[in-house]
Amino acid sequence: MGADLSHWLEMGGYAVYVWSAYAVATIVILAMALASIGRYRTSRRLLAELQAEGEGAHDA
Amino acid sequence: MRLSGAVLPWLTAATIAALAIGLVMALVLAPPDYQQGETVRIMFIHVPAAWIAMSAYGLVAGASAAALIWRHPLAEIAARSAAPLGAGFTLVCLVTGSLWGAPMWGTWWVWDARLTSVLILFFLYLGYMALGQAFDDPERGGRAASILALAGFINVPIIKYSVDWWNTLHQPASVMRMDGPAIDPAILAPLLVMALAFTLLFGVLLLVRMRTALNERKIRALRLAAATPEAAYGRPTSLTPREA
Repeated sequence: MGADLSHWLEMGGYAVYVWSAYAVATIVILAMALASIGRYRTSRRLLAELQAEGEGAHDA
Repeated sequence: MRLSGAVLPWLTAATIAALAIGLVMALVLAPPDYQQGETVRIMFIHVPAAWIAMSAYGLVAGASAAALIWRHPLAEIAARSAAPLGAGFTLVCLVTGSLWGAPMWGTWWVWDARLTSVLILFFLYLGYMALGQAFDDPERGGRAASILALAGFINVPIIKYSVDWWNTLHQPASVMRMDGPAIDPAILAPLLVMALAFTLLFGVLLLVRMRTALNERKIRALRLAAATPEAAYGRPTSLTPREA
């Protein structure tokens, strides 16, 4: 099992290239996803605050 | 767009499932290629990333055309939301290609027609994103960026056919061929599952970004109304502020 795993991790001697490629793809995709979701959450919160404020102003 | 809220959780679940299955197929189940050895596994992200990079640009250009012709606000939002994602996938395509080229071609980079045209695609994305924000008037910036996106579309067929027009280092198409794919099913299957996963991922992030853009439009409108009360209540109507 351990031998199988280290054999797999070696990637036939191309470990540096294969794992770097997957690492770069993961980092770029995660960065895009986190940035998109973060900006969405901020926009939703701001909008909710502004809408609540607007209603408060009308009530006053 | 309202429908997207109901679809998003399902689409996200499908994306995660496709990514998980695709990664197991790509990294464990697929056999090493008889020529490329284990580096063929890089192709399972490189090729789908390249497909998304090009189709996303098609979307940006198409939506930009729609924005210029019909002035539909959603068209520009779609184009502006898709561009950074397209740039990200183009970057993945370029870097993974380089990481494959180093052991297989013996070089990280060559000014081959395919590589050069994809690098231009990356700069077109960056230029489009920068130009959209370069004007004080967002409407003018949007139009200038849309025109750039349209003009840059000429690069997409150049990328597609570059491997046929110029016989340089990058190999020609092996999946989208008139006579069917020239790849063994054991390699083709993980490639297609990863392509599906990347497409779903692109769709999910595009919807999230478009919803964000719509929220931000509403925020700007509300702030404008709050800053200039006459803009909100100045019209000669019989509406009370509460109803307005």
